[in-house]
Amino acid sequence: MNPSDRSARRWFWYASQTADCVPLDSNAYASTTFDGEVIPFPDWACKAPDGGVHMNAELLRIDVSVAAPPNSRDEINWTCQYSVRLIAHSWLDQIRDLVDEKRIGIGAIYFNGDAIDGWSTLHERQPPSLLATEGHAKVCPLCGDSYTVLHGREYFSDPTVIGRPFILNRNGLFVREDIALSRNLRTPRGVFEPWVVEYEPHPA
Amino acid sequence: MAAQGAKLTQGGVAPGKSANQSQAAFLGPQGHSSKVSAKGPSRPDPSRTDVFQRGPDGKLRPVPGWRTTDPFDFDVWSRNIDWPGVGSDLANIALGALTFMEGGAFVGGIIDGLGYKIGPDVVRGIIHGHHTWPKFMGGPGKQDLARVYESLHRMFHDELAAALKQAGFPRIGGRGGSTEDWADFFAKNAGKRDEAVAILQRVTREFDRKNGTRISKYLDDTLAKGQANGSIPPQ
Repeated sequence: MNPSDRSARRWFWYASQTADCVPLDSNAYASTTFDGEVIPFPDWACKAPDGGVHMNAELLRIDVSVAAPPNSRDEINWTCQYSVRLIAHSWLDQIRDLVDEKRIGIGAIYFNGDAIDGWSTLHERQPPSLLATEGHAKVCPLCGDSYTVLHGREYFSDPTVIGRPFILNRNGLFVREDIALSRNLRTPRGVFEPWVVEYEPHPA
Repeated sequence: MAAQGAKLTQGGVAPGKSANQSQAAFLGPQGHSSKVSAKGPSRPDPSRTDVFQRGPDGKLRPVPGWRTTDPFDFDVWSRNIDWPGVGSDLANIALGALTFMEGGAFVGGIIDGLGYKIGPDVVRGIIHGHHTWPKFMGGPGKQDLARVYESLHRMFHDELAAALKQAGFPRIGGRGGSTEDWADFFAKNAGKRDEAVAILQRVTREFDRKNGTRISKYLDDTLAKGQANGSIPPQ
């Protein structure tokens, strides 16, 4: 598609709404202390010099072991620690063809040692950051994990996003607007109604 | 005559109004005191709208479709009441509202006690149950709720959101401000949860001072319970 097309620069943003997150299985992981609490510290996690913990942004696929399966109500969920994105296949199958597996890993969710049917993790390696007009960003110097606090209007400014059919970062899932409309993509359960974000180059 | 003529209006006690100040609602348009009596103020309004109807049991009920009868907005409310018809009952509600404001009785009980079967949705429109330690900050889903007027509740969250934004915290609610966003923020920024709680305590105390509310008491109790069960580290 022509990168200058307006449709190449607009995405529906699906952000998780549910608070009913899925706890990691602390018995399956090493632990660390964070803010006075003992928390799981999986091998796919990274601890920044300032003490902040997050998924290692250099990784592609992340498998998780959970202490309880995701609820059956929501189709998009997250792990209570590290916010690993969990997707039900009932919705993933509607966008699976959009997932570029060179950028985005599809992982397994284990409960009591068995993979949970019908669910996967999704994780994009070094994803583009969603920025905001009044927000601020923080980048881990070890793995490059980027975190943005959003206030004001949100946008992408990384030119590599132009034309991409599907983007995944810590803020949610982004499906190119023209694709979502053409296939009449329904909103998955457990997220806010989609909101359009656009590509806006940084001012020179 | 059946109960007719009470025009329902949205709204609550004006910000900063104390219980005593709210008694100004009982002053007439010229500022003369017109104490609530069974007859009430003699100001029938020809544009009045029916909002109560008498049911088969003889008790008054709101006309379906109306969402709230805010007894605290009495000065507005009382202008549109057909007092000869419903004065006694409505005056009792108004007195009940004052009782609540002064004594802390639950307005739902007051209304029910009068025989008005106003549903919980309506009561929520009047008094909100406020989670003093917000769930998105890690507060428990089950906690003793502070009872706050709807208008004050909204104002409190506006003030809290502004204070948190100024300190670099995420939005409250919506995309970028969900429970997940807050959990992620706390995980990536060590020490920020304590800072957020400190801001919450400061905003709550200042709000109580300005508005005569007692939210801090509930917050302190809830935080103490959180520290006791380990869901928040001691400061």
